[in-house]
Amino acid sequence: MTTVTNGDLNNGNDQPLSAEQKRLLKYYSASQWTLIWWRFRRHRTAMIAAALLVVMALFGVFAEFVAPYGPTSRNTQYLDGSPQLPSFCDDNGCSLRPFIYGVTTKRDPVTLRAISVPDPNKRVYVELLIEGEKTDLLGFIPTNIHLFGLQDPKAKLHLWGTDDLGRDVFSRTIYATRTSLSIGVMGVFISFVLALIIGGTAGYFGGRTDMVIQRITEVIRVVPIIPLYMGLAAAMPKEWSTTQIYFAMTLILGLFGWPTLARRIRSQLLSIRNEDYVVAARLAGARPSRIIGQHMLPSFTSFIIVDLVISFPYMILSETALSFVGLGLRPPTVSWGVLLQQAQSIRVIEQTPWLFIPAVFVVIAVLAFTVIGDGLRDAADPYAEAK
Amino acid sequence: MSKDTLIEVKNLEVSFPIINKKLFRTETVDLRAVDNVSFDVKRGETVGLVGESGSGKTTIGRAVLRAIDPTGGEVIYHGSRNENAIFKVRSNGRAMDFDSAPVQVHALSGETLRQFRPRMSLVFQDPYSSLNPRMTVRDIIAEPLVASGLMTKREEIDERVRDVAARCKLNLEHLRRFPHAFSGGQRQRICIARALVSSPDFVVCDESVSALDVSIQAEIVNLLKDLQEEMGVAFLFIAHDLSVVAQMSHRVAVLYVGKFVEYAKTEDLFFNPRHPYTHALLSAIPQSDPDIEFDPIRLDGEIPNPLSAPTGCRFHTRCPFAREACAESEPEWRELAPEHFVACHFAEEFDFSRPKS
Amino acid sequence: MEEMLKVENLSIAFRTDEGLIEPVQGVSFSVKEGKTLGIVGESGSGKSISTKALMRLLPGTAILGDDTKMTYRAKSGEIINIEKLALNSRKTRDLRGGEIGMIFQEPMASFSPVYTVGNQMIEAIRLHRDMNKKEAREYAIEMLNKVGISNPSQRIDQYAHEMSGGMRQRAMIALTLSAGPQLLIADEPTTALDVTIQAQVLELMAGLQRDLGMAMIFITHDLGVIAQIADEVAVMYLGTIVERGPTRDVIRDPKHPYTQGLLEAIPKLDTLTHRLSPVPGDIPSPHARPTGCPFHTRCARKIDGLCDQQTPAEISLGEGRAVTCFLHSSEGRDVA
Repeated sequence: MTTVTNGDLNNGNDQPLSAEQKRLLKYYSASQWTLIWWRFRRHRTAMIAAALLVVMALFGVFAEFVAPYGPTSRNTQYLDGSPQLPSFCDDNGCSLRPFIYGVTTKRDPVTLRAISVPDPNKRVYVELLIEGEKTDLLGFIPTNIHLFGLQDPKAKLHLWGTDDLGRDVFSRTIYATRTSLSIGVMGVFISFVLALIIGGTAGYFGGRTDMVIQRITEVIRVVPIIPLYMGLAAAMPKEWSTTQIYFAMTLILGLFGWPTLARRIRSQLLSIRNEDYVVAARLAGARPSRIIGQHMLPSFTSFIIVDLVISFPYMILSETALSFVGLGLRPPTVSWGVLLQQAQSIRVIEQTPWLFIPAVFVVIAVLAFTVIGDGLRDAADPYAEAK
Repeated sequence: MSKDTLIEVKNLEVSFPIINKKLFRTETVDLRAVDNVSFDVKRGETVGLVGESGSGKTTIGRAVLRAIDPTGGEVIYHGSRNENAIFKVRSNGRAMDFDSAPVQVHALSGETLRQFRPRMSLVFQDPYSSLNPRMTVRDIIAEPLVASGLMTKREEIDERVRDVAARCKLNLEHLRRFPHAFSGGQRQRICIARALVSSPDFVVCDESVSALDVSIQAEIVNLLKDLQEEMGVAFLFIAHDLSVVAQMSHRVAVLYVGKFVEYAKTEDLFFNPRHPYTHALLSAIPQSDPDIEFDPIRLDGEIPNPLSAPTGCRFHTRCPFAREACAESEPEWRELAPEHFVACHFAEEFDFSRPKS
Repeated sequence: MEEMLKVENLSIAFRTDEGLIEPVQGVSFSVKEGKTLGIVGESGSGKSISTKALMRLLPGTAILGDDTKMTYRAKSGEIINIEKLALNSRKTRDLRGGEIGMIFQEPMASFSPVYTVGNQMIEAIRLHRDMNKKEAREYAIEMLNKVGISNPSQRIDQYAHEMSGGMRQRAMIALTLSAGPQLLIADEPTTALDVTIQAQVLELMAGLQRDLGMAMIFITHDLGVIAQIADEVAVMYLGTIVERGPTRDVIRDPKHPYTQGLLEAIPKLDTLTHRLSPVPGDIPSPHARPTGCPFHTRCARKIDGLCDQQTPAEISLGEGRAVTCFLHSSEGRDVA
């Protein structure tokens, strides 16, 4: 509990402040958000999780740059290809730059089919920021620079292997990151807006309004999710473009995600309503809109942010699950769920297990959001330092 | 009714319905927190309200301010005499007139009530929960001006805030900071500055010093007294600590389970109490003089729950002087000596006078 | 050892994010059999933490000073060095409750809301006395009666929330006393009570102390309560004892400027409408302890060059009185 002693720190003197006093001064003038950020910074695991998420998000935003190939481009010469991990050294010596083996086409003696076989004598070097396929960054900036690629433009580097159609798993996973994360964001946003309006009204007005809204919320929560989604998915016209399906998905997720968040908002508001400083605002003559906007919302925003952050994993998991089952996004759209849908058979487990890598991304994303949510919750208690 | 009266409270009643949900029916019992209370507050004076748990003192303060709504009785406001009051100078020109005729505060509602608010304010008990942790001190103090639309120009608001803050011994540096930087006593000063920024005529101090250390308490009491002299504010000082109330108030009222039992000038009440409860209360205060024998009057039993208040005189279950009549009928509120009111059947027979030092 | 409890050089430190803070520094006091020691101080004085150390109730992050000694003479006559007890050993558990009991400010927080009061009392009784359930129940009812709770045989089956504040505090006292401690530590037990109830509870505690021959440490910020209930008083400021001695002497003739200031700041009923005299300034935060004497930043009689540079040592003034202030030391007298 830090206090101000005897008026201001300098007591009116013009002597320069000591380092300790400067530190205290910064602390006293810090707004609540700054304080929360400082406290969050000390939570190492949460900071690591946040960094991971930021990296993932950047990958998603700049997918065209990070991924060497497009999500649907195929390499017909390398079907069901295993991951090609670049190495630095081999029998022929070491080099500074990582390389992979080029492939030569041979005929498989048993099946008589043309297969690609890595040739240990052909070294193809991997380089960063290299020119590759032409694509449009963020959808509208034409570029052909990619994060990494092969010196020999005719050779292909498949870091995480390919699927049965020859599509690069790494590239598809990166593009899928963009889709899954953005659906998560939009879904959370829609449910948040709905939850704010509905939960806010219930929490601020209380009484009968609250009771009516509560009953409606309960009805919606009680509806079983899977049959509901199935019904809605079946109702989605087959002619819809992938974009339309994408937006419909976010809408559906948002529409059914609001009850939990609304309940949280409502209970926060109900408890804040009777705090002394809210009563003080009312006695100061503030209108209800000002009381909610100026006094109540900022107070609970820090709590709600925690709930919001925790909602992300649910959205992402819902989308993944639905797409996995075939009810959500469909090819050629790529999301983690769609990718995992292809990985459903025993054959995959036995022969091409690298198709499961998107699952790792899902796990990392969900864990990261949860850890950040925990860290935020610890950091957001406004009275932890004050008393 | 002298010209000096600012607030008149007549037969005030505040009840809360307690809902008892039983299996097949819902019982509603009325908890009468404040039962038929009448008193007045003069301009520039302090009236102290003293009582223990369940006495209703906090409820009275809140009801007069319309922080909660009275369920019966009247609260009348007799207009401001302060020509320089902030609330008389409105930027937008549309000022409602609350000064030419007495205002029925208990009947105000909606926009009218909102416009009336700058004339009365409240200083809370808990300095930690009464300040919004996300606003700077300057914004907190400015809120009554901004929220009710009294002032709109930033320079005007800043000037007024600085002025009030300086009177409460808060300087510019403090205004920039957030509440978490301040101790309990300083926070209370911020609350007081906030309460006075709209130059109200009437401020309710609801146990405002109870949560503070003895020395800080003394500081705040001095501050309140100074401000009263400077600004002519009337205070309703609610507390359970009689010694502090004695220092602040010109007149003191003692409450027991929702009703007034005695009301007199401070000196009269403390050196010449007439009601057995007041006497017991005074004798129960431990004096910091080890030579004075601490001999509190034994009051048997617990303070009654207002839901099951005793019949007749509410104090009769614990009163050492109770007689049959006390259980049968409620005592009248009588003026036993000039400006000294008591509610007790047999008050004339007692002499509880205490020595002054 | 003639005192029942002797505390020497108690120092408690906590490691926090903002550095090491020492809320208690070099505190020494003692309690005699059957007597009451009052500890008086404002917030931040360290009065509660000091007594928690006696019961080994401090959090795990607390560090006791190296030369801290807490010596206690048990009912059996055995001398126990409390500072050496392990946090959760059998001996510590026997000490807590059976030898030293503690009652707190908020009785509602001290009772479990899911068990009846009787249930909790019987548990305490059986932990420290050799009785079966039936005997324990009867003993509990007897204790409830002793503390002045009416209808004890019915009340024993009630929950804490069904009782009023005063009754809960009395039940708390009954619970603590039923374990039969020799020393009772009362941490602001009447601060949350109404004034008439406080008077009842204080009377009860004084009576019980007489009957049971218990020693008591009574912590409060209310000098009035101290004047009435304590035989000896120790005044604490920012983690150190600034003055101690027999209550009457300290109150009538305070030697330390802080004690004087505290006494002057109390509103007295017999001098109304005079200006109150607070002690100027605020209590410094434990993170920013003043160098030298902790009180010098607010002291009207501080000696520049001495009080802000060196920490005064405790000076004995005879007849059980001691003060920690340069004004009473030879150095101070030289300068003054």
